[in-house]
Amino acid sequence: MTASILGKPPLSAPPPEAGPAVRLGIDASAEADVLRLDRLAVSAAGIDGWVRPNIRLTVAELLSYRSAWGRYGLSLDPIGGVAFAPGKPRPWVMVQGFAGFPATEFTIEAVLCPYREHSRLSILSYAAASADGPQGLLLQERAEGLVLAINGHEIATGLHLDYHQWQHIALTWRSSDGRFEFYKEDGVAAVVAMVEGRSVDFGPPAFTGTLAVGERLPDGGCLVVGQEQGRPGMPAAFVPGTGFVGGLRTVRLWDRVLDRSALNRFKAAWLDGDEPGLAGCWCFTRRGLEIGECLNACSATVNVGLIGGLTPASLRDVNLYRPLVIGVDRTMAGRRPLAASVWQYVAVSCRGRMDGVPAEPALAVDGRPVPLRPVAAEDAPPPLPPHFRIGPMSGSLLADLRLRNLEDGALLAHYVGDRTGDGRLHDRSERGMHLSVAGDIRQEALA
Amino acid sequence: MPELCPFGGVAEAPSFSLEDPSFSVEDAEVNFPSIRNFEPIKAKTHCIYSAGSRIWGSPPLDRTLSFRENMRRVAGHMAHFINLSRAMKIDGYVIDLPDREYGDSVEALARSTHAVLRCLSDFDPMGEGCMDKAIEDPAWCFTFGGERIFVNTFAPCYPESHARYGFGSQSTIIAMQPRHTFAPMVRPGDSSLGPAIRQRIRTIFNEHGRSYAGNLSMVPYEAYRCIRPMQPDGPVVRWWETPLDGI
Repeated sequence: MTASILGKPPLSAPPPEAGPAVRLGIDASAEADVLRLDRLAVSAAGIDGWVRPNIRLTVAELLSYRSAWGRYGLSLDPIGGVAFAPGKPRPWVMVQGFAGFPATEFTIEAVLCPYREHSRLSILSYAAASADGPQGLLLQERAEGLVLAINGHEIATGLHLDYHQWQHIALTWRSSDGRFEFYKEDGVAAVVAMVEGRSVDFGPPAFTGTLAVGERLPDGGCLVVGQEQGRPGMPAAFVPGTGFVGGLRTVRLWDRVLDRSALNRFKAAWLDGDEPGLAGCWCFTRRGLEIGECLNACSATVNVGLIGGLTPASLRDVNLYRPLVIGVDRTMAGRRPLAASVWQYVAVSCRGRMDGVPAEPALAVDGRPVPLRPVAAEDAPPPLPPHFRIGPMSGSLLADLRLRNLEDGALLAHYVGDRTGDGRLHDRSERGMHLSVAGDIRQEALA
Repeated sequence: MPELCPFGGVAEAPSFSLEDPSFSVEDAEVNFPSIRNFEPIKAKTHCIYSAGSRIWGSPPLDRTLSFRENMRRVAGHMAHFINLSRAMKIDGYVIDLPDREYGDSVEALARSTHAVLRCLSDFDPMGEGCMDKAIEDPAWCFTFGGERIFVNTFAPCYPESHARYGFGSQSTIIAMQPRHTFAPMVRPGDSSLGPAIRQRIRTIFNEHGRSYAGNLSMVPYEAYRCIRPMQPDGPVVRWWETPLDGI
């Protein structure tokens, strides 16, 4: 038997606009009496409810259980930008021994916010040792504008990035005729669009030119985001005073030239990693910064970016959350994120005990199944001491949060935000699993 | 010699009773004979942390049940300890084998220890099965309910001059100390128990004529430390290799 909660509750119920919701204060949480943890040990757990996550810089726990009998839960790992600060330690992201680097054509995208600091800002460099001398590419903002260099050949666009503003840039190159295109948003229009919560499309290429006809980029080199490499893969040999300074949210690398319509199709979309031609898609999560790795949406094990000089405190501008489904000894990461500040209906099923029914972990958001990817044990948040808890969630809103035993469908706990007479968070199920409140937790009417 | 079931064979699926109405903190901390039987050791051993520690004990063995069934009950009870030890600051859990035969020789103690740990591993609600893993490996540690646990033993076989002397207790005691309980002993900012404290403990044992081999604390394998040999420089007690039938 494989248990699953998906499909049992209404998968596309309307947002709880008129119902009660629970607002969890900044560090507030609601926790069960540890003497009663045995009542929540289940073979397979189902968690479902409405959540509107607030901006948070640490991993948020929607619901979490751990005891001697098992473990389950749903956590949200913030995804955001990171601040590349000037000086030392020099910040960088490095993919060593890049497997499958595009040799003869590529598209590079970056979402970044450059600061005025150095006369050269290295967005990324790719370098490989070769008998013919250094091979690779370099993308830099200089006095002559954005410059792309391939195997020692350079082209300057004469176009500058928009300083102190978040922007999405894209550039394409192909070896066969050396065609190079640089796409840049209309900066003023982009600001208006951001205010309105939308994205602007790229117009025609802001610059086109010809570069490095017939050249090939070697495989197996070292990709470094944020620094120019003096020697391949050696942080001690990064070129001084040329590091990127500012904010960086994501870098994408494709093994093909995307045309404008493809660029615009993917521009504002979250990439699962399976998109044809996507060679790498790196972004920053809180947990990734804790373990020193930059998440690659394409693979959990190949072309992972190692981080230097960036810490969890470097995380900024969180707007998405990577869901982490925890079932006993196994953590799975959702390959599509939850959005901040938006009501979403989440439903999770997972194994609760080692000897539990073989519940395949599953996650659905707003009724749509979200593909999951295993997270290595050392990459997952470490288990906490025995507990059953909701939060902390930093001012997030929850509504109609339910915990079920998937083996028999029994409702184990149900929270809508009302309190018991002694001030605990009231469990509306028959099990009476009321939770002691630490911090500010309020019931709010959403009408 | 108590009647015990044969050991070995295929491990049963772990099981335990939920919403255990029989669990009582007062029983675990005060009423069970295991606590009384451990009291002489707790009060008189020369470890400077022992007297002030808070210990829970296992429920008494039921002589109408097999050893394995008794250990199933102990596993269910010990799971509560795992859940509560941090929150209630409980430092350890002692399993009391009250008949002298369980530990009247180091060989018997080795068999008893093996039997207890094998059963607890089989009944581990988290199902990690630590006793099925390579034991002579620096990574091995007894694990139960998701916690890594240091196992220590006391038995009537040890003479008055031995560091594991039972101070008159006729019980064989398997003492479980989760790793997290050691953390408060380490000074903030330090990575391990300070050398001055280690030396002080060793000196107190020496002064009472119960010196022990300090190098056993430094061996790579945790299993070597569970049972002390009769002589301080004696060979390692390979308890995990003892037969599990007919003890």
